[in-house]
Amino acid sequence: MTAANTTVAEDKFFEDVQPGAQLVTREFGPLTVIDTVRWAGLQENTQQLHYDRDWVREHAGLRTFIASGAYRQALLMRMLTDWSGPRGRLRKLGIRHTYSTFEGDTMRFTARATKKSGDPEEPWIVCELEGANQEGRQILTGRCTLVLPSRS
Amino acid sequence: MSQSAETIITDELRRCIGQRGPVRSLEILSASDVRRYVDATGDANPLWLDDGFARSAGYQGRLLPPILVGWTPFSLKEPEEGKGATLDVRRQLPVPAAYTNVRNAGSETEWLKPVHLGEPLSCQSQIVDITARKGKMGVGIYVTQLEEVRNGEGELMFTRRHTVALFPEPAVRE
Repeated sequence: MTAANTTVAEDKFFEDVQPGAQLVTREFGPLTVIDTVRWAGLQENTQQLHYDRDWVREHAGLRTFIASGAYRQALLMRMLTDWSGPRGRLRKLGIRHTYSTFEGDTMRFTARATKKSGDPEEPWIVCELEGANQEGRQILTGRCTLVLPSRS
Repeated sequence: MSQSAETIITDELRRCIGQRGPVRSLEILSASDVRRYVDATGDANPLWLDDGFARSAGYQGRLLPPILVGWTPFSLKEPEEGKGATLDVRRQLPVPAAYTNVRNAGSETEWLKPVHLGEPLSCQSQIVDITARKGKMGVGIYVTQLEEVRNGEGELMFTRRHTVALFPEPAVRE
């Protein structure tokens, strides 16, 4: 599901973003064991919670394995850095994980602008972030600050 | 074992708030680490892969993807048994032995400057909060750690407040 299909957007300019605008939505998944094992390899995290169905049922009381929080955060950040373009920059990110992503679940992330700097010399915007699964259940909430290039 | 949110934070555990780990040099990440990141996430942004593209966007060369800044593989956080002590200050906390079920509860991260591939970085961690509360999975211990990452010149490049929730195995409930 995570083949290298990134399309980096062109530059987004500070002046073109208005508070209240929904900026980007992206869906990832469904989550497979290949996704979680690749991530576990990168992170060198051998916690069975993220790939071993039998272990998870016996020891964690869950129906199947779950994605790591860092993996979900990486996908969310990918959405933001793709959207903001080559001269945009992710400056701050706050995430609260509210529900797990299980094998077979999708992750749909959205970013909505809520605030922007009044000074084009400091061209930042603040976005509210939300993640939901295929049933519309919230899996995370967050907020980020992006610095965008200015036309001025 | 029956623990309550009021009793599980012992004085010994509370005294760990403020404790700092040593300043550690982080492994310098390579292009192959970035390739494995791209394989895992599909994030083939040319800013991470193409020096020429990154220079055209105003950088000195390709950047580290933001999630890899301050990255410490688990093998360095938690060496295998008998292969040395953990360097992670959170893993040294005197929590009850049954609290092995670790969940990522959230984080607040700030990237102060872009970090380029190959740039040497160091990191220091501090325990900044330990709380407890009861939820569906039992009484959880919530540990918040502040990580500060600096470059070779000592400039602060990245900070992260990261909270993990520790629960007793096997008390997890969907």
